[in-house]
Amino acid sequence: MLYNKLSFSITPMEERAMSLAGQLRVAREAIGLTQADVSRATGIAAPNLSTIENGRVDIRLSTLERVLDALQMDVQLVPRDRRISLDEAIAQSERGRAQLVAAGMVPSDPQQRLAAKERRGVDVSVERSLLRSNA
Amino acid sequence: MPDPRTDAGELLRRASSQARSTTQRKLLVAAAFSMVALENAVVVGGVAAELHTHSYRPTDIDLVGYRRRDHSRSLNELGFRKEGRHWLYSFDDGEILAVEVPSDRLDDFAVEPPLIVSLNPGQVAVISLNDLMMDRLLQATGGEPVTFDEAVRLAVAAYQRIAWAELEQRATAAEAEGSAAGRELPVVLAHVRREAKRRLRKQRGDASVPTSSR
Repeated sequence: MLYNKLSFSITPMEERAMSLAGQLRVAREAIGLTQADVSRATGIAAPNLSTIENGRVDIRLSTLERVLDALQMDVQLVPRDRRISLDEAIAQSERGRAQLVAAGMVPSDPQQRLAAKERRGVDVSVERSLLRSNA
Repeated sequence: MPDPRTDAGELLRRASSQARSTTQRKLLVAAAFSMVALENAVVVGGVAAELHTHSYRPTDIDLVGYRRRDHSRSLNELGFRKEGRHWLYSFDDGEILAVEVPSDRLDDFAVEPPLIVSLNPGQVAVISLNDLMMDRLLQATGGEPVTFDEAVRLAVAAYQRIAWAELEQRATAAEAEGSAAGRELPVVLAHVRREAKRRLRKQRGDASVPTSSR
């Protein structure tokens, strides 16, 4: 289950370092550990952990493994085909629409969806107001 | 380290002046919001559905992710303003987009890594198609016709890309767990798939049925 919560993809170096660093902090906080707890478990000084979690250091693999052990986490690589450009994403959505049009399906009706949401007790006043103003 | 607000501001400028469609604009706003306010942000809900159907017309942008400490200040500095459970962003052309963060993480039914859309600068993660289909199916277990229609709409738009066998396994596992929604899931899945096939057959005008690649 942790796979989807803490997965990261192969990205340019700077984004990857920030993404992984951020995920280390999120993972630590998610299991209720402080930096001091992880420091005790790994022998890494707390200020150094802070630097790692802020993405301000090029972390060594062996250090990463110690932190992951303390967090009881694994890193899993994500296939590159999970990454697409904005243009590809838009083209994909247009192919989907073409298939819906060919199948004779009309576009979704936001008013109906909001009415259903309202029946579940959700306040949809902001969405209704935006539907009117953005029309 | 570069200030993420600089890149987020650039994304909002692109959303304002260069977006060629409302979908593109929403993704750029989602990315800008995520960049300054959230960790492990993932686009879910209507915008994710829009990415496969281009006909969903989402009323807001739903994101899950852990809020950063200074997220309110950063969002205010970028021009977002809070209204109820939404953060609103107004464009010069009059359009106002609303962002909601309904949860800090994906629901447990989501098991696949998200799709990453590269924006240069930045990126935005979007719930995977199969996880989105599971979400639509779970919503359809509530019995509202509109939620069933939305599940069918996604199924028709992306039929060949959905891993139906995998979804059936997941639905069976959910049924075994015994929750009310889980018990209904295999039946709803079968109905949605059957209706999608029927629509697609009608489109082709013959009895052939498209097959999933997995």
